[in-house]
Amino acid sequence: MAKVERSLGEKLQSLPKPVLYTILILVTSIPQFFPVPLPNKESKSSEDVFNLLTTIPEDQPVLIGSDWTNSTRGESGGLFKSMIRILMRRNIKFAIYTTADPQAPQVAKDVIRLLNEERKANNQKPYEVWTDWVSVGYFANPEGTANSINNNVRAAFADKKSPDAAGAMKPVMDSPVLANVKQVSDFSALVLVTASNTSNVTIERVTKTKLAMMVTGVMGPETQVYYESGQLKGLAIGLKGCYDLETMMAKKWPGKEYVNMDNGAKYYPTLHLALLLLILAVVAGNVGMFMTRKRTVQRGS
Amino acid sequence: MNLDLLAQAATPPSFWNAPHGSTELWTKIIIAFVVGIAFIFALMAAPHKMRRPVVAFFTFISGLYYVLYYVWPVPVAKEPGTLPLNAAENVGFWLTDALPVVAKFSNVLSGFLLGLGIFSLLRVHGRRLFKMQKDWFFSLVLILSILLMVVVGYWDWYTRLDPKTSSKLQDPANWTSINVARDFVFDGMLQQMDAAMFSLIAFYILSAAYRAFRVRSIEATILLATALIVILSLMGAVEYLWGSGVASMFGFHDTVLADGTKQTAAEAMTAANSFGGNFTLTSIRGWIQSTVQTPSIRAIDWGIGIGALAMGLRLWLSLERTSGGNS
Repeated sequence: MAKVERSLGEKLQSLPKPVLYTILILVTSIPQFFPVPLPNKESKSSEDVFNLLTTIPEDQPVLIGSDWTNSTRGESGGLFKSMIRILMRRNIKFAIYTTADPQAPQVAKDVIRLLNEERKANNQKPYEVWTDWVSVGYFANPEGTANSINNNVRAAFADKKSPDAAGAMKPVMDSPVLANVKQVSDFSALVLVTASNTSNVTIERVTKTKLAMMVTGVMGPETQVYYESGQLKGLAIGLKGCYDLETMMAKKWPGKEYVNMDNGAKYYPTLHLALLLLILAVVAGNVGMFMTRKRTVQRGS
Repeated sequence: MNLDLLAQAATPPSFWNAPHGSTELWTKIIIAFVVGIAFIFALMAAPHKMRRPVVAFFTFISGLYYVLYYVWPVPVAKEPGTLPLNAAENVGFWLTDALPVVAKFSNVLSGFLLGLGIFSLLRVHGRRLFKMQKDWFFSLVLILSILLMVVVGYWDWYTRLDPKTSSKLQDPANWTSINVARDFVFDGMLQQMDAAMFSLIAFYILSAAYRAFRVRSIEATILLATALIVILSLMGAVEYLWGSGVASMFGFHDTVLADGTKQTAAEAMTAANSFGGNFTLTSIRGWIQSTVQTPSIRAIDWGIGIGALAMGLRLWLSLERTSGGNS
């Protein structure tokens, strides 16, 4: 049986998956070996997160919800690192809790360890656990925990322990970070870095302190609703939000002793090329469809 | 061995707790465990008709607390030691004070769900392994992986219990082989595989967008055009070039300000509050997000909220046929 020759239009509509996937691997890998600084216009919601983090009082701790793991480390990891770097530079104490994933506290601790190594390398004082920050740990039920934090944060965290400066396990509420916290409004803000539904759970229940969020790209549209309504004081979305924070940090702390550009700068060129490939693939599919239609109409007439 | 797992920290003494490591605490734990197990077995042995009212009763009482918490007037400026003025305020005080306890109950119950998940995994894959059913090898890998992570995780945790070593182990240079092993299986393997699995989504998105995004109707064309604008606005370089193009069309150019700082054409256009500022990608995306996307999502959320409320009521009142052991 003779093989039917496919037209260019048909070929453009049915590019083989291996070809598409190979091109995707190439365009996402190559930019990571050749970092290119890209121009950027920070979005208003990212500016608000940055302004919040750079203006909150230094004598009040920040409560951080860390609900991400390495599955979204490109975005969430970059956002988390930028926030922690800002807080460390301003000597602001912070407490971290998790309600989404049992792995998340360890992931957050690992990032803080790396940032401390970076600070030591740049002759800056490392952030000490217990004195400067504490990990409150994991809570299995997000709804009940968020209610409890809003209602009585001391009772919510009462059973949680952390190693003190000498390494002995002690209640986190006795730490210098949380000793003066009587209620959730004693935190200057609650910043939630999340890749899950805990954004909705938190915004529905925590109302007594300023809220800001750092979410993944796919969560952007649903979370944008709460930023538009004013319930969120700032919102950094995905890799763009990460790059926004890094560029603003570079403007505020231009010194060589500060590491500002990280995940955002590393992956933003990759995002560009991946999105460009997506556009080209959609264009190719549509051009192929129109070519095939035109040919069919010509044959019919 | 100093097990801190069951410690009751900084909680006022009451019937519900006891000093850390005391005989009273252990006695209470054992009694609670035995009573809990006995209750579960009694419930399992009970006939269906008897089981349903018991489950319905506990479901109603549990839900009733949160319903009251949200609808009952709560004390606004309650300080420790404040006394209620009347019966209504007394209930409000009780609801507020009980919340941390209820939250702990819900955390413990959710913890049981994690345990139930592990038990279910072990039961399904253990059976497949022992009966040497199809793909038993993968079940073996799963069970070995669970055991490895549990052993290494708890061993690492145990080495950090001693205050003398705990502070030293903050520095990776002082890690022992078990700490390195934990780092390897958790950070080196699990977390990297987690990231690799998630990155596969990029391939699906590309493939799906290529095959599905076709201009076959007016609706599809609007969707495609909107998506294209939002995608382009996420590309800083494209956004910059677009902004410069629009600015030059409206007569703005790159300039150097009096203080020596450079101002791009797009920044100059924004600073001058020019009409052209409405045509930058950021502005168009902002308009799409605030005028089209946000109201649409609010409408969807409203619908979902109404549906969740209806379903919540049915579950709370045990009207749902699949709840309460009534299959």
